[in-house]
Amino acid sequence: MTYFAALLFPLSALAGTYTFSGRVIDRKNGKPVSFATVVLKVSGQWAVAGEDGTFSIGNIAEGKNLLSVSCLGYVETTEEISFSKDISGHTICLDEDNLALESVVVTARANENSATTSRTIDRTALDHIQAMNVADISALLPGGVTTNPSLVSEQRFSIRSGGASEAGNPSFGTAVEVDGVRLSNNGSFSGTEGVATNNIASTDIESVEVISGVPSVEYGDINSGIVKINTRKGVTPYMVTMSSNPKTKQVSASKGFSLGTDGRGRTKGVVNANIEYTRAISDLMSPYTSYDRKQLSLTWSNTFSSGIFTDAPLRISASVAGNLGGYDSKADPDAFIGTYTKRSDNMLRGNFTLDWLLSRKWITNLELKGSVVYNDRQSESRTNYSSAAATVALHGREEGYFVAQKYETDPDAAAILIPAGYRYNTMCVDDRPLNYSLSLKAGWIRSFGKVNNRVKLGAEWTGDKNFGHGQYSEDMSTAPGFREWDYSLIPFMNNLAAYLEENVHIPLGRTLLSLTAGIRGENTFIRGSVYGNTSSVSPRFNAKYTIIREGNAVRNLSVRAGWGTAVKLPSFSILYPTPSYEDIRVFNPTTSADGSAYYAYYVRPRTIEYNGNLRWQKSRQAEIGIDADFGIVKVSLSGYYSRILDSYFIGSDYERFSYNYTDQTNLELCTIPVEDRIFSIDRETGIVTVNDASGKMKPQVLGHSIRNSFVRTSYADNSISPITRYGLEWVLDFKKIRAINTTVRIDGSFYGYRSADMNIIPSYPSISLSADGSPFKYVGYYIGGDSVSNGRETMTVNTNLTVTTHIPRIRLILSLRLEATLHDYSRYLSDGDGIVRSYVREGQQDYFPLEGAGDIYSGRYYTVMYPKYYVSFDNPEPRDFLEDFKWAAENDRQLYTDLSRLVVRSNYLYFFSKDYISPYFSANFSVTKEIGDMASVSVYANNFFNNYGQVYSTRTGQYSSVTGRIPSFFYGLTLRLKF
Amino acid sequence: MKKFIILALAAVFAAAACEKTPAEPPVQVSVNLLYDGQPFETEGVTVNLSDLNGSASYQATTDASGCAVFQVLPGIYSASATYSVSEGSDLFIYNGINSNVSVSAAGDNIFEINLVQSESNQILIKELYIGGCPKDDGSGYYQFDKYVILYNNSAEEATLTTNFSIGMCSPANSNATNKYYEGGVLTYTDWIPAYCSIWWFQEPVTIAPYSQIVVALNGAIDHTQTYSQSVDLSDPEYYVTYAPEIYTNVNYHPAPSANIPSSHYLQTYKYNAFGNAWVLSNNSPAFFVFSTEGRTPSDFSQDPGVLQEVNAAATDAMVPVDWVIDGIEVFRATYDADNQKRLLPAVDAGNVTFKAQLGYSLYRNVDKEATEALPENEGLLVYNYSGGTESEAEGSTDPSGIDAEASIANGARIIYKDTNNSSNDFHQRRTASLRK
Repeated sequence: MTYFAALLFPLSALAGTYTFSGRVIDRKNGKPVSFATVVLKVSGQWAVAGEDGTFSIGNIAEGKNLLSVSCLGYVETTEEISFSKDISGHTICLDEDNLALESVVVTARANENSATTSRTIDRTALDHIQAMNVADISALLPGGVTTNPSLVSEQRFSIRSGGASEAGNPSFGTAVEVDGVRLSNNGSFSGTEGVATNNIASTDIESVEVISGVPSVEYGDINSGIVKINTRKGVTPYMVTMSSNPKTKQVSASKGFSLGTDGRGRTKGVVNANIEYTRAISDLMSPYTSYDRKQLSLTWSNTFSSGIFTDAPLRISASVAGNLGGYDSKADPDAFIGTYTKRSDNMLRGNFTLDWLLSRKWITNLELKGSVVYNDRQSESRTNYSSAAATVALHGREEGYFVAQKYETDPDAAAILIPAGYRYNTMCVDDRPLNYSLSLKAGWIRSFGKVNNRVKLGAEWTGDKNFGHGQYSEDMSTAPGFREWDYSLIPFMNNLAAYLEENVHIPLGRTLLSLTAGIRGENTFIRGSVYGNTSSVSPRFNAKYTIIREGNAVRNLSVRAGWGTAVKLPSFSILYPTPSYEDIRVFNPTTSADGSAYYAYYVRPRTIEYNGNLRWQKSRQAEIGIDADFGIVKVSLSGYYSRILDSYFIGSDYERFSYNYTDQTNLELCTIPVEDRIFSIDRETGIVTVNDASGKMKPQVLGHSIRNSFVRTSYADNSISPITRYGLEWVLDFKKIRAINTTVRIDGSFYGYRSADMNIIPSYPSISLSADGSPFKYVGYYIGGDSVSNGRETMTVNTNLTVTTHIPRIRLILSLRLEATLHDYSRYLSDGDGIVRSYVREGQQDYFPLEGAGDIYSGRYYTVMYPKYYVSFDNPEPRDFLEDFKWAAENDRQLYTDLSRLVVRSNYLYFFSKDYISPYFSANFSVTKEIGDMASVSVYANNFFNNYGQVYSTRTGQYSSVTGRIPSFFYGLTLRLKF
Repeated sequence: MKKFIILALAAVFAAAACEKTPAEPPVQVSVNLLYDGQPFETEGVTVNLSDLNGSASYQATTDASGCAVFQVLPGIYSASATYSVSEGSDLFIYNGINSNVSVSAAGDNIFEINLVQSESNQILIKELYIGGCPKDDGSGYYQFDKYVILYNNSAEEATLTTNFSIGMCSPANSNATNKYYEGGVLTYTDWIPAYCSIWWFQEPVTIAPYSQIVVALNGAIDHTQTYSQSVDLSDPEYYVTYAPEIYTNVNYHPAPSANIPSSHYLQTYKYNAFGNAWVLSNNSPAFFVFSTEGRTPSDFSQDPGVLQEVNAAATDAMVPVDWVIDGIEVFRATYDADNQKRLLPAVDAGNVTFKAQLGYSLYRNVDKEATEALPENEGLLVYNYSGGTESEAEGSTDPSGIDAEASIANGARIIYKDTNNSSNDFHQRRTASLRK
């Protein structure tokens, strides 16, 4: 709020400029605080204190400003400063950040200066919850639900969503940054998920900021929220951390070193080093399958403020972090010997930042950033196989008929015959995505009268590439069927973004209006592909009106609103779906005495139509909020509404296809002895010929029949159905009850989600035969696919009560948290966008709608759903399904049987019933105790009442265990040493 | 905090205090047999009363009014009774089961068993081998070697017409959630749900008296080449369930041995929407054979009117119980509390418990009296049968003591027990009879 106070005062560069210098010291011992960051927030100018704690900032405009001083290990301090002359010798005292202070917070703290919803979790809170995976902090957000820490399974952020089961790729749309470096999953070929956070060292984190509202246009390639992780930077003592819980052990050491000064007294900067080893297991009963994280990070930072940089200091920071580790089941004695799965999660991350404070009339500062993130996600899985009969492994990528060949005969055969017996094979996946970015951002901060104006102009170039070679086997003679798909052949996806943002603070009497408006344009370049260049524009707007500041009954009151569009770039899994193949077995032989069976296949690469019209998935988000301080309680409310548009999905269609088929009845006419038969097949015609290995008989051509079928094609597409999310988040922070050193916080969220898929999706039951014994002849086209439902709606209310007792005198903090899910509602949907998609039917065996029945939501019914239309092999023109189905029931038994296979019926009376789950609760506690300045201990227990109760479902009328909805009883301990 | 600790301790104490419950005394339970709604006034019928968790089993015989009396502890039980009587050359069997006998300390505890009448059949299931066997390299077990032996249990030649079919009940495992149960009672009474698809013979098959045919239910190949504890199913006389364009999974359905003519491939139509294999449970199927009446099996299974979807992955055909020739209800060992019957009493009023993956088989018991009565068996029967698994937990053996396979090898003719109650009719054999 002090920040706004300063903004209310006129500040004009025209009246003259001044210099501000002083010294930062430790309040307790009076010693200088080296490398403290001194910022004048109104003018955006800054300096970094030298080793002796001194600092100097020049070119400061006349007027009031807001001084903010921060340093790693100290509590940030702010004060108003009025500049009408040079100020020198100003002393700033900083308090060491520890539990002896009154101001300790172990929950997510709202960023009060932000016009959008943004919260920060600092190191104290991270220590208190003993986060081992940064994704664990999600529990500290309003309405957050605690989950027990796990590193063996991948964890992801998914802001303002109900999790991975929802449509619209929610985790893919949540961005994660470490020190401004975007961790991108766009180079992945394995789905549209966000980055897993398992390989981020949790002990190196200083704070995490979660922006869940409409973000600045500075941030692109997102749909729903951004998580900004900041690592430690600055001089620190040695810090050693040892953590343990039943499934994870962790040890780390870190230190911030000052490199001292050179011969001319200039600082050489600071190096921060952190090393961490974490080992997690998945199962206490079999503690061998594990995930390891071995991470080293180094950061050098320095500020040049002498010589040519005297009036324009340059701050440089460069980091490198590397991780070795991953999943490994190799040592598990419970697994069959010699079999294992290993998945690397190695990472190398490098980045630099140059922040140049120019303090010119036409530019305030210039920031240049660059980063490279390389991931090594290679995996290998050694499996034991056995079979009583030969099997065929298909590797061919070209179209045609192929009969199985022994590996010794043709190692490059499209179909390899794998003999009967026992064997091992190791399959590997070479997956090595790389992401780089380079950005330049200029800031211009000026005040015109009372109006403070900030302009941000920037450009960003990013690229994604995968250097992996995809799937391969170490021994092709025993490898199961797979197709090579070399990721490295896919070109870079480059993206150029430019943005402009205006942020203006307008004092209106004693109130303050802050407006932020920005626009971001992106152009994506994928050379040599149909995607070519694709453009998108994202406008965003935020406003905040501070109505009351430092009032009486209401101390502070502000309202805020935001609206914006955000675009999520596709991943390679969308742009270049892994090719799939239609492998049709066209020759079924007999099995010989040695177990060999030379099957033949028609290999048909499924057409992947690269969709040149693909649009980038985007979200439109609106938010309103109110923040008020009533003295005894601080209230923060945020309501939001977002729609995901053009979400990515892989569409499909079918095309007619005929092939020749030969089976044992044809083979029975062959007179060549079984043991002498050598099979060949014409690649073009599919005619099978049997040759006599003994040479005594002439080759014999087998008969065949023609099969008419459909084969699938696929393509990347945009869904026509928006995904709607809405919600309300609240935080009530009650004033500290000093008599018992206790604060009470109530936070919670209401979350609603609705999605119904209106895309016309074809379905072909390829493993069914028609009633006449031929391959199935019909393809149904359904609204939202061939499932009983095509969508879901959910509404949940989670609320948490956190009681924190902090006794500074004994440096102890204890928090008790009761998590409650008070409302848990869901219902499956079958919506046809104005067309009836599902009908009520009377009995479980009925295929037709019940005349005069209500809609499917009006009671408990069996339902039936039909394709909107269908095509047949003989008639590719779409025909109304229900009309033909009714006719066939009376007139054409065979057609009726066949079309009945396309009818989708529900099996439960309650399928579309509303499902309310009875409320459920969990209680957790955490304790942190500092022992002098050298050590601290934290202990936590989740679900310490060991709640194994039951919840009731109104949909099924059944009780079920609450396990899975709340964490099971779990505990952990951390010891931290500083010296 | 202190309060919470006190509360937690109190909760723990309360929980511990609740663990001990006073022992309840046994109560009297009366089970009355009914047939066609009237008392089945027959003395000496054995009634079984089994604790549903498998921990206790009791037997009592009926008095002249058809009532059996037990003294048991309160709990949930299943009561069953089987009675057979010869009338001329026909053998009539009365079977009944009440799987919802809830005995309470305060109730009158009078229950009923409704008996249904069925006949013994000429064709019966002699053996069902489903459990698989250990692999030679110790990497688990192999289960794609299932087979069934159909046996002519009469002195007359038997013919399996092209209407003769094979099916399995839904759900596939006895311990799985069974949607057909409501209030502890099966909801179907005159049909049996055939899961996934049924199989039928291409051509009529004739079985000589006291002879058998083998139908490989997965691979009709020599499995012993890789798995020495398995069986050789590549004999030219064998039949196989094989439809490669429908069930494409070559592990379950490999190409049959070149020895076996394609006319021995049973045919099918898959009415289930999913699945690339006909997956007969390896631990607890309810398996049955039947003959369609008035229509072909193909026509029957393609009739949408006989189908109903059990869940998203399972469609069943409703096979009229009158069509069923024989069936076997297999219960999964160690799942006693969850096992539920699927076959109706007219088909199989009991169950046989089975342990999978060890090479065990389900083999029909010998009708000692009838077999010994055949004059041509004089001196050919082999006794002291030791192939059972009665020494193991939930194991069983043939109470006749006759070693059927050794006797057959000796030239004897075996008449197997057929009371339409697999509790009486089957036992768990240590090895498959086809294993050499």
